[in-house]
Amino acid sequence: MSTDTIGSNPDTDADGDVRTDTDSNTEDALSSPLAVTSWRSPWVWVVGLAGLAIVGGGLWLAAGVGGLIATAAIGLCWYLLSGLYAVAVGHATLLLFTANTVTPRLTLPPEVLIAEGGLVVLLIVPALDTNVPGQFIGAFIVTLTTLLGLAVAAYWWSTRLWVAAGVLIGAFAVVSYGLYRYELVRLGLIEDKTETI
Amino acid sequence: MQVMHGTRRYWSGVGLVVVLLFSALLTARPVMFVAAAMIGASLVAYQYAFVHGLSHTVNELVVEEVIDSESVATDETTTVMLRVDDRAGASLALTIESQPPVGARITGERTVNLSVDDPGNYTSFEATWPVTGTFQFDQPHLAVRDRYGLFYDRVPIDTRNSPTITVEPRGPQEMHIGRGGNRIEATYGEHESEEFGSGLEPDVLREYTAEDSADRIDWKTTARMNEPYVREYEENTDRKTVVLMDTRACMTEGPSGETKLDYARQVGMALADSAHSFNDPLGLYVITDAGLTTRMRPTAQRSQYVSIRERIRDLVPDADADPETATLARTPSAIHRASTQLTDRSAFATRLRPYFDTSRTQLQRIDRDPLFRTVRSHVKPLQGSIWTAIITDDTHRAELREAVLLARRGNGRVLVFLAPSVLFESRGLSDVDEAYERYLEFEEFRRQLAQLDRVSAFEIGPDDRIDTVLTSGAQMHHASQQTPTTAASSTNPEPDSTPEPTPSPNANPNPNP
Repeated sequence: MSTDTIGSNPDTDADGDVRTDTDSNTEDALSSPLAVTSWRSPWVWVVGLAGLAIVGGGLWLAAGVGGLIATAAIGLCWYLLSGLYAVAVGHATLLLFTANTVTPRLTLPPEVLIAEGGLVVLLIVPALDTNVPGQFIGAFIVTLTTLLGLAVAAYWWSTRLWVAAGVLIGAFAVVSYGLYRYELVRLGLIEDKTETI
Repeated sequence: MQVMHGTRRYWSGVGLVVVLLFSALLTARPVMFVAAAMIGASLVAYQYAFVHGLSHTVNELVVEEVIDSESVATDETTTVMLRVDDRAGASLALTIESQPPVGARITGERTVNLSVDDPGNYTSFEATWPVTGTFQFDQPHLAVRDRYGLFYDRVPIDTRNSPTITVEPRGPQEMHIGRGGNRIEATYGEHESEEFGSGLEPDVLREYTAEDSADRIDWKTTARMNEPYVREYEENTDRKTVVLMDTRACMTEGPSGETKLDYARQVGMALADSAHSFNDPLGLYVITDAGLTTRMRPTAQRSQYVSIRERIRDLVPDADADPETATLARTPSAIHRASTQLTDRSAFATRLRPYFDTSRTQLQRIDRDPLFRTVRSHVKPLQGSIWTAIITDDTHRAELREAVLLARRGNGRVLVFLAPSVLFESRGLSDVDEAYERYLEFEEFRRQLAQLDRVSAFEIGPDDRIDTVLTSGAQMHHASQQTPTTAASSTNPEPDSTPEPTPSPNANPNPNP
């Protein structure tokens, strides 16, 4: 278990300046430690490794031994960084190993689908460490379906990839901003600007 | 208001999405679209979990902030305790930071950190208050970060109680209120109306008359006397009290923290407290060299008492204006009378007329005097019997006398609290003999005021200085004058010290005897 601590030294502030005993209360930044941990529960390890095995299976089908080596690299990324980077690296290797089979058509071969399934597991396995694993997975699936659906629809409508890319990134921005506004409402931080006459 | 922020990790994830989309465009491979969508969906899921956890935490977090004293003097220190209990046991890293008022100097840690293993914690710190006023703590701020380091947030959070502290100015250490050097203690009691009516306290019995209502007949007395009798009851009333605070430049005299205004402030706050305790309607008028700056008509609302007390507490002298030191020996009415009699062209009248022309100028000055004008324009028109408390010094004597005369209208009474200038001047009591003579002049003026009908006049000032003047000064003065026969009476310039009720800042005084 390793723990990264942000500003954990009580004698220094966020900028590393030494704090004095008598402190002005006008400073805005919180200086106390906020722990960010890379600790994972045993179930995360189990499920994550299972997902990694699925990825390995897909890549072995696609590229043989080279796929297994790529799987090791993906696992290293997952262990050291996060599932996000593992997915990015995984798709980069898919791009390399399936260059001859994947076409600009919107279809994926079976081995790629298997590997994608494993990468999805790597992405959603952190849900087990949250208080709301079901909602986490639900939010992931709904968002993924929405983003992909909009991107596919945009591609079918325009037959241009850049339009699909624009729609995907735009939809992602809208969903993120919507959650941000949702947070403001939930916390009652919306200022009422309605003037009473 | 601060809102949710993405950390560098989050924006790195967004960067991955963008890079994957670009690679999809460059390679024309839909599989990269899938990668971008997966990472984007993952970021949204993390964000949703953070928002859900935060709102749940805010709802379940119990924050208490307690201060050990709600009223302190300036530069005093209080201890503040911040206690936090996370009933939800959130998986987020939480830090709660107290938000004391900006004017406070903080010593110690004012943040509380919570974790999954430590859902309840507290901290205490000390706050020093150099500035007078009423201060309220802002809502504590909750800083929260998700365990993956993707988001952080900082939001105000409700507490069970929001501490408020009142910082009072440090008053003079030795307060003297009295007459002729004799301290007068405070007295308390219900104030009587001196009018009969249908109150609760029985007062007198009298025979029934045709004008009386039948329900006012006292049947027991009637049966005993064989004549119809009516019992009169004393009517209890609220007494309207108006405080006139002089904050002109002349009130700045005196050492720091012991100026005339510092003493006047203590008297004013004591009057306000007293009126509050009796629920008497209370008003406040603050006079500066520029004129009237505060006008609060007398009412008996709680908010009025609080506002007046705060206003008096926060009074600052009008230091920009030049203090006038001139005094008048004659009243405006006497000047007017004398000048109108000098209408002939005799040598006598011709000789004296210029002096009264000067007096006319003085009369105009009285008319321009802010205190006099305030009484004439704002106190005199008030309905009913008014108790007027004028807290000032002896600089503008003629103007003050005219203001007192004007304030006595109707059945009103006037309390005058005077700070003798001789006790506050910068040269101090270096020449005790001269100071004693000047104090006698002041005392003579105070007695003149006190001799007016329905007027009570008191001196306010530092106790030790008055003692010095009245002991050392009297001895030196009489030694130089060699008139020992008068020494005893001079030490107590007003032997008829019949105790009159008077406010005392040390004992929550009451202007109402």
